[in-house]
Amino acid sequence: MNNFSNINKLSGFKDKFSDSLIYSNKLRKDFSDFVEKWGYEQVSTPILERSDLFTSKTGTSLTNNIYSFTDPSGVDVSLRPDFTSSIMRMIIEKEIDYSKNSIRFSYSGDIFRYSPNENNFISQNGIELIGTNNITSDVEVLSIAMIFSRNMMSEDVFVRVGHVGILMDIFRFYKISDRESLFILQNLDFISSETSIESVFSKAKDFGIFINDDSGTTQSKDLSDVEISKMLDFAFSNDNNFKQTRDKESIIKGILNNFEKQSNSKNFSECLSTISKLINIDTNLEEAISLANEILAGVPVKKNLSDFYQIVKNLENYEIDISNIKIDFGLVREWGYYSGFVFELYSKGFGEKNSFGGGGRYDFSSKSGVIPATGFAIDSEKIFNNSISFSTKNIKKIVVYAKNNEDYTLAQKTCFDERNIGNIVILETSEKNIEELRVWSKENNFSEIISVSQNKINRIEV
Amino acid sequence: MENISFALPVSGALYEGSMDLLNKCDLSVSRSNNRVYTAKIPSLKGLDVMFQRQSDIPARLDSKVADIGIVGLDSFYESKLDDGSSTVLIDNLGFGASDLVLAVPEAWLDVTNLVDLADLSFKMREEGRDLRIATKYPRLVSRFLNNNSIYYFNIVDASGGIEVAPFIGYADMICDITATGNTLRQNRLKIIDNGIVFTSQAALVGNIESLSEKTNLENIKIVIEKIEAYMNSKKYQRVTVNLSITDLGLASVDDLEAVISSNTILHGLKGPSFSHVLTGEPGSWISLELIISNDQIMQCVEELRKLGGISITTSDLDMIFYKESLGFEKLSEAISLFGEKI
Repeated sequence: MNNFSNINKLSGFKDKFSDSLIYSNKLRKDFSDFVEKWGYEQVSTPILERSDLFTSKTGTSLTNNIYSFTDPSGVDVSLRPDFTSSIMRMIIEKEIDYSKNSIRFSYSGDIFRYSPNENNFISQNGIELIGTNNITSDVEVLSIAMIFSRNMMSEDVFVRVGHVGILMDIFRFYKISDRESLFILQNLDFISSETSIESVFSKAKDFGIFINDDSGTTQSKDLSDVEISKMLDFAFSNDNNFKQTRDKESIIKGILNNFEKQSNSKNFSECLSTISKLINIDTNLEEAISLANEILAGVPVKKNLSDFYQIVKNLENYEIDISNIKIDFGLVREWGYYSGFVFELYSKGFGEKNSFGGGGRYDFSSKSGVIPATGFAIDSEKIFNNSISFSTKNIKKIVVYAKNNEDYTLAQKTCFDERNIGNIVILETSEKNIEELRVWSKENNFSEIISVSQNKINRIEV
Repeated sequence: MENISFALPVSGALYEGSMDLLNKCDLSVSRSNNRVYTAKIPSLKGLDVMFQRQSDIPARLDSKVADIGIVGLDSFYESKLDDGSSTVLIDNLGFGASDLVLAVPEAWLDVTNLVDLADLSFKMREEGRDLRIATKYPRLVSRFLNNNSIYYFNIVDASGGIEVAPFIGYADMICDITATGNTLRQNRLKIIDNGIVFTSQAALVGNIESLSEKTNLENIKIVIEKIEAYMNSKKYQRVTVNLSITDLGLASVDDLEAVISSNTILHGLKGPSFSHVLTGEPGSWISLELIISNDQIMQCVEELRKLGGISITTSDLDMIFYKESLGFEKLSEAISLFGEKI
């Protein structure tokens, strides 16, 4: 009746073997060596943190995909769903001063996010540049991402760039509520593919997005604060002992907010139209900015648009060909998290929709205020799964074979020499014959057999 | 041959409902006393009953400790493994109905629906804290809120007396099951519009993988068929009526058949049956028996009155077996698909 044998690997996780581990270890080393030259110091944070750290920070669709449980001491803990929160926690906890000099950290490791039918862990290598909101930091982060990816992979790497701040400027201009903004950000793909704003509008209504049908006019505030206060007094009067977690002021604010929701169908429709045009821009940097300026005439987006242009243009200072940069005003990444410039990395070899990394400006909110920050990470698992020619080609896997006891000394010396030149070597002293050994070597990705017999060495290609 | 293991709720309304249902299906459970957590169904050899807390039953199924069980759909979907082999065999057992609802303190005049709740979650976020929701159903609630574009909230795991959470202050609002809403009102909470997270009732559930390993599913078939037949029967009533062919001006039963055939209401489940009535009165009387769906009973009575029907009676049915058992067919198909998958 019972089945005690169900100890199979959890879906969404992987057992890794040497090919994958060699790859990820090399990627990790190359990455940290590379970013070290840009002044990034390696840090390591615990894989397990208090749950509050992640739930109070993320607030995106990620919040409910975190692996959380109660540890044996009774503390609610979570496997990290990203590195940023832990690094920020470390900075705040250690009182590391980022105000005078910006801080540069790099990291490597696994993060964990539950997602049905997908990988539930991501092996990340990334950096965080904390303490500056100057565009040079965005340029630096994007440059590192691009140069490293190209060095490691190929010239096929290209990047898609956007700026969440521009979209936020548009929402503010059209007085779009937070909830409506969220709907738009979540449905940018749909908005870009739909020619009819009416169909998007209809979807918004189907989704229960509040849109005041009092088209074009601002809803008037019918009740005064005093009247609302009286309503609340009445609501509370039934049971003066009844408590709840919000004070009257908060509820009054909420009611006023309901009255003052100035978004309406006309504003919402105009906003959708503007964003639809903007996110359909598909051209080079100069033309894209020019078109965006036309579409956004009257919308106060000048600073973010200018920053966006400067960030991309400045890549040329690092000899990056910006013709490989795809301007995508609809790129948001994890909505609700990033706040400014964002980018995603792609390789033509992986397919144009399969991003292997990305990042951007996220400006971390803490109790002491907003900490300006930008960063990126690449997913080594994704690169490995899609990679055909990762450069481990100089490392050979060799079997040194000694059948007789008298050959062991030379065999061991041969192993020592081969390992010294960087190869992976195993010593095989079994009773296999050479043909059996060749089959086994092939199955296990060994490229050469060194057979040692009667003080002679014979190299055999597998 | 390995026995089938049947998990039933150990107490509460679902226990009572399960026992009642199985009794009515001629599958009465023989349990020596309430402190014994195993039992038998004497009419089914090779089937063991285990009593478990209903919240534990999904886990017993996922771990293949139980093969089938009766559980509330809310508990089932809250606790089952996403990639497990447990599935619903019959989703409507007719008892244990309840709604899982979002409720806020009634003093929150600014929150009447999900949109207001979304706005509030944003505002709280700006103020540096998340909306805290006390519930026993964290997975169902999180999915529901995410599907409604609400992301800024924290679930506070709680069990029992959840209604008091906003009063004590360990949560801002709650999400809990309610049948009538009375307890919520008494605790000065209001259900928000569109705030029904899940509509639940008792269901028969099973683990496809463990059932696929059984060599004989005859007992499962009997359980499913009888429950299904009982549930089918609750949708209908047997209606009998006496009609005078003579008074209707008809020459024969064949003429009456033509009249009945022209009236779709009187067709019932599969046409009425006739029998002669020996009244001792002049004229020819026919007794008509129909199986009519509950929602058409009064229409049927009216139509029978128009035909001069007298002594119209209705009675409950015990079971209705159709040509095939949909539940067992579904299970067989799932087992077959599972076999292909492995």
